This record gives sequence, structure tokens and C-alpha cells, in this order.
Amino acid sequence: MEKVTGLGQFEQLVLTAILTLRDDAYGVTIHAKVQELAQPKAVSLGAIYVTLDRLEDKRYLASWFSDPTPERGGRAKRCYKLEALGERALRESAATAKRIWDSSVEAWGKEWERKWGRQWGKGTT
Amino acid sequence: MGQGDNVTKQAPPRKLEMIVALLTPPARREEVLGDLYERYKSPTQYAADAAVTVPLVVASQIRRTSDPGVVLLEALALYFCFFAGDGHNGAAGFLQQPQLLRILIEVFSGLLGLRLADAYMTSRSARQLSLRAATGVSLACLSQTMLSTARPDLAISGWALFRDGGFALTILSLMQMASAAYGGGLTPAAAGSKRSRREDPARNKNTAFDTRSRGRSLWEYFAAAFVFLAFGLLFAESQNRAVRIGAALILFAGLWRVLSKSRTNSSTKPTN
Repeated sequence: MEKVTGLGQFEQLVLTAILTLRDDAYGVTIHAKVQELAQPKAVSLGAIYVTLDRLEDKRYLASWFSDPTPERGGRAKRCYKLEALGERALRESAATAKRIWDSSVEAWGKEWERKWGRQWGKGTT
Repeated sequence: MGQGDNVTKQAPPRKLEMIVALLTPPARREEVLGDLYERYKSPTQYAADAAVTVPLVVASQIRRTSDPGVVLLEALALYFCFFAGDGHNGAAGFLQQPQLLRILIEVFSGLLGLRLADAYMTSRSARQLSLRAATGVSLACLSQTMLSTARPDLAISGWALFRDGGFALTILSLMQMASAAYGGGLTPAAAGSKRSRREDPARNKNTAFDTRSRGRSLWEYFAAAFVFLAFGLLFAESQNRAVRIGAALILFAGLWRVLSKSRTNSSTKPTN
């Protein structure tokens, strides 16, 4: 089995964006999704390209060109999908994040967990 | 107003788009221009978007096309060329200040030129390889000219610059030809991993980079032999210790490159 190297935070965001976007994952949509996930940090499109290249080189992603479309000035989209290796790396990262979360709740208590949920507008686990 | 008119109205100015296209590496042009077009709101926003995006795309492309072994080999070759033409005698001159600073700036600029040329190359044609070597040497010479203006004590004569540049151009061109003989190492794939290239016919069409599909010419083997022979002779015959060290380093880096490349090629053969 091929070895999976640890993911950086930005790489996790990009892989998560591609995972959620499914068949519609290309530069612009990935950027929008990562921007949403990385709030309140601003993310540049260039940083997305750099990370996509790196992840593709690591064989976590595969890419292909779609048909050209008029809303892009007749240019094709480069679409991305997660490879098995990328999925495994993301799963491992998610498991680590879950362990961090559980430990934090254990250390800071249930009150902090409720506060966190209110602040970020998501339900607690 | 039809939808087509609306699409035309929202298009970025043609000249601006052409400038961005020119600055974007060909291997990434299609998707970068398309994405910028899709995000277009106003010429200012488009220019700002491109100004932030394109440098990062170029940097990423440089990273993808750079090979540490190649960079080392070319750095040594450039250092040797600019040092050898400098008229230093003895090993002391090899690390002599402030000339060392001058040579290092030339080497760094030359390497930057070569890396940029790699990022923008679309094929391994003789023309593009010559252009690559010329870009590297031109940038090295340009840096020397600028340095001469800022620090006159580091200036060298126009003739010396011409001679060093010519020497560097010859050596780099020969090394590039030689590299093709031992596996195309000096001009790595423009687009990235083998896997992505295999799955990506459009990018393949853009870059046409598969070195294995191209036969090795007799000239390339001749150039490889020449490089090794020339530096081997320099190493064996030169009375100047610094020149011998330089020649030995280049020979060592070249041999290391040949061996590592042949190992890589043999390990990737079954997948091809």
C-alpha cells in the first residue's frame, strides 16, 4: 500500500472542497468553497493552483479538461477528482481532527463546546 | 439583448487578456485564463486577480519542472564558466571576495533564467532548448551589467562578459544536448506528474513533452561524450587547482545525474 504523507491545513481544505463539490470541482468553484471553509481568512486563486499542483504531484488528485464553454471565453475547465490515496489522506486527517476535538472538549469542558457551537453556527458533535 | 451579447459585454479587454496569456506558462494557460475570465467583473479586478494569480502559477510551474540534481549541475556549470573566464589564478581565487559575490549573482540570475525558461517551454525542440540556454545566459549577463552600475568595483570589461557568456552558452547548450542522451533530465516535464500527463490529452497536446517517444540523435550522444571528455581533460591536465575542483564537481554531478536517471528510467519502464 502506498504511503500517505501528512496533509497541511490548506491541503485539507482543498481536498475537502473537491470532495464536497464532486463533479463540479475546478479552479473557480474550488476557490469559492475553500474561501467559505477558511473563513475569516482570505484565500487567493493562485494559492489554490499551487496546492492543486502539489496534491496532483502527490497523486492525491487526478485532473482532466472539460469541454470549452462560452462563459469562460471558449476555454476548457480543468476538473479535479479525489484519488484513492487522496481520500485516504483526508480520512486520516479527519480522524486526527476528531481526536483533537475530543481532547479539547475533554480539557475545556462541555460549556466551551456549547459556546463554540453558538459562535460558529454549527451543531456540536 | 441576447445572451451572446451579454457574454461579450462581460469579457475582459482583449489586450489585457493577451498580456495575461503571454505571462502565463503555456501548460497552465487554458485553465488560468478560463478561470480569470469566469471571475471577471471589471478590468481593474481582472488585472488585480491576474497580478496575484500568475506569479504563483509561474512559481508552481517552476517547482514542477525543477529537478534538484539538474539545478545543482547547472549551477556548477555556470559558476565554472563565469569563474574560468574571470582570470583568477590558484585555489585562493575560487572563493575570493568580492569577485565571489559577482559570480554568485551571475549564477543565481542564470539559474533563474533557466528555471523560467523551463516553466514556459512547450517542447524539447532544438530551437526552444537554444532559447532556454540563451535566456539563462542573458539574465546572468544582464545581472552583471546592473551590478556594474551599482558597484563599479565589481565591473568586468564588456569583452570579458561576452567571452564568459559565450562560454556559458556553449557549455549549457552542450549539457542540454547531453542530457537528452541520458534521459532528458535537464529539461523535465513541463506539466507535472506522469500520471496527470497520461490522463490529460489536452495538456499532452499543449506540452508534447514525452521524452521517451523521441529518439536520441547521434549529436546528443556526441554532446554528452564531449562534456564528459572536456571536463575530464580539464580535471586531468589543468595546473590550476580551482579549475580542477570545478571540473571534478561538474563530472561528479553529471555522473550522479546519469546514474540516478538511468535508475529512474529502468524503474518506470514497466508502467510505460
